[in-house]
Amino acid sequence: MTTLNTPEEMKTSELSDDTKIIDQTEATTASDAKADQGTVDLTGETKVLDSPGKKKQPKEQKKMMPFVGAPKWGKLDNTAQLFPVIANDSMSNVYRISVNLTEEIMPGLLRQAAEWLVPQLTIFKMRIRNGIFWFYFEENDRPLPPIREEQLIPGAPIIKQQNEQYLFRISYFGKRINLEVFHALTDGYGGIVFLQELIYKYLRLLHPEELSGEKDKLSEGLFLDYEDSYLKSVPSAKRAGSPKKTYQKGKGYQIKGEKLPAGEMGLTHVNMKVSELKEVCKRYGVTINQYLVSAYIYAIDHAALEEGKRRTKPLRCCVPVNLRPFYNSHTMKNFFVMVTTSLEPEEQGMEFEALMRKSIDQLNAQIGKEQFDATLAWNVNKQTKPIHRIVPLFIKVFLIRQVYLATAAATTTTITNIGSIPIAEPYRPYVEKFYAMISMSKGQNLKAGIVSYANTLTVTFTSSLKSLNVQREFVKRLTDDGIEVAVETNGSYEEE
Amino acid sequence: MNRCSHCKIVIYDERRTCPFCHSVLQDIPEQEEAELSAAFGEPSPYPDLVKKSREVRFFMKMLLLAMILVEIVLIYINYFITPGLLWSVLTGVNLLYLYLFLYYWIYKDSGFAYKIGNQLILTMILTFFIDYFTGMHNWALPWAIPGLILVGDGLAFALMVINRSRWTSYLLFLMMMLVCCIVLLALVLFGVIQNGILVGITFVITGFYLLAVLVFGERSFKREMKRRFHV
Repeated sequence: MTTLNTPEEMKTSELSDDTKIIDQTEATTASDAKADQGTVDLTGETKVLDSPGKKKQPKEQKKMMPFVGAPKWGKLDNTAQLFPVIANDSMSNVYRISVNLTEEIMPGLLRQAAEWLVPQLTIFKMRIRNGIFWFYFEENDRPLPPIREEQLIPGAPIIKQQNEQYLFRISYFGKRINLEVFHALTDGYGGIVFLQELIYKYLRLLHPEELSGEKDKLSEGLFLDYEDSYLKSVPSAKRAGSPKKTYQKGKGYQIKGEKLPAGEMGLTHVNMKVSELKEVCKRYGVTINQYLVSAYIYAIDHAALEEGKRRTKPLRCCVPVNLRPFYNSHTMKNFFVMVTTSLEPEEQGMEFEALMRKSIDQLNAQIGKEQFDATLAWNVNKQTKPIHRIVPLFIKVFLIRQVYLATAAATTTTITNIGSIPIAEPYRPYVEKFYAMISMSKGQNLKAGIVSYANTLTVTFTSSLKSLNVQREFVKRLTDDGIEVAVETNGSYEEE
Repeated sequence: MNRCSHCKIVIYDERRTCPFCHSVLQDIPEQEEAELSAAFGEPSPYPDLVKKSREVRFFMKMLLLAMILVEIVLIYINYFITPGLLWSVLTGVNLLYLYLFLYYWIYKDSGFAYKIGNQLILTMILTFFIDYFTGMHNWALPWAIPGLILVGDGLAFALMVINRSRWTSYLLFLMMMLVCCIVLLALVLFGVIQNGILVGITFVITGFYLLAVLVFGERSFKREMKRRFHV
């Protein structure tokens, strides 16, 4: 897969084994031509675009359709295959990235911005369908669903039938825009790209005069690449045979307690200044990510102690790692792996600094191209083995679900850091803050998402439990280190 | 905006006590509040979410309760009026089927073709078992199941007409009907089904329908098959 930089490249580059990319403008013309003559094939192979001039498009429409690659259908990436199988009411596999702007959101303009953007970031224009052997993506030709004021719990399942089959949802509340994405579509990287471009377009519509110097197009240098980097990154020689399995086995410690009412989810945003955090990290000689992950594990461990619980199982925390920098990938599809830290029962109550050193050592031992190669080879091997490929989808679904449920019990929690969101200078005065949150999954009643913008970093805890003990211990760790913290919740936690 | 002097943190929420330690919060002077807003951003409140799903869940629970009550009454009547014939078992199975049917249609996030296909297959299995448990009078295989396949053909046709732009979505459903026909035809050939008139008619209609779709929608048909059967 070559990266699509010029229109010429976009017209000819291969997307996957049998799917090619076509120019969006030509795709529209091709649709028209098909309607007129019934001759143009709009399959992924994209062959005939023989008479584009026969039906002219309105000028305005042409303006809305810049040169962007548009796969008509395609396979789900290696990781994405899992999400439709395990998704249900209590495990939506939907993540949310929100942005607070400085002014109240204008829903009409937000919709205009989304309508302009979605045809260009075509991965968001896909719907999932069931094949006989695999799920697959297919271009969704339905209009976008309405953009409503927030009326669902964060990370609520995306019901395709109520969402015009789209796999993402945009909502707003006050000054906040929420983007929720079904993980099969893309990971945090793709979500950030979409939200950034949505914000830019929205602000250009809202402040046409102030932002008149900004071109009305996608950001320059943006990669519109839809390859399955898992497949591309693992050489076929490494896939062959039986690569060693690298996942955790055995049950892990589970954070338990009285639950919030069914269908509710508690959010706790912990805001802090990046400058203060950097100072503390410098003092410890660690990175921000290492510090926050360690503080989180420390908080879970100490909350259990506070509650008088002696752990009998290891506390395992999963941390997703973006693989793009390691494999020089710019795909908009999923491309990450999980690495895990483990704190054994006999290590309960460990001092923070010792715990941090141990966690860092464990994470570092798993991070590196060689280590990732092994994990990817195992994953890809499972997908590409001929015997696995010809198993009917309903049997795959059953088997994958059983394997997932068995392995899910090995993990205590997940914390993800989607990093610092770069907003272009002209738009910065209108953007205040970002939030990132991940939904609950089997056995994981508490998770955390980290995102930063400018000098503010926000850790968002999503929880299905009434107790805030872990969040309290986390905040205590930070304040003990001299970091000033501001906390906000979504109102799920009642007052005593 | 308030401050918890115990936890030494700022609380954005409009609440009286700290969510962590439950101590009463301290007011923050306006000037300091402005400084904090500048540092951490404005509070970002959440709506008080009304859960529509609660109404649906309540309806389903009420329905389940009503069905259980009806079945208890039927068992009671069956026991005292016709104790030799356990017809209340059949009503129980049917009520259970009805409940699962509703549950499936409300909660399952799938397309019409997928739901109707699954529903028809389940109904075929149910009719066969009803026939089997009521003395095997041989009405399910030669008549009821072919009838259901014809209903399936009719539904596929109606859905293709109504949803013309996405007619290929129903191809797999139609193919499934043809597979059912072939199974029934095999049962006729092996002598399991004695009267194969309706089975034959159903096979011809379904096969012709699929053939017509193949002829008229050749390119779309191929494309749909390529996607659906990709390995």
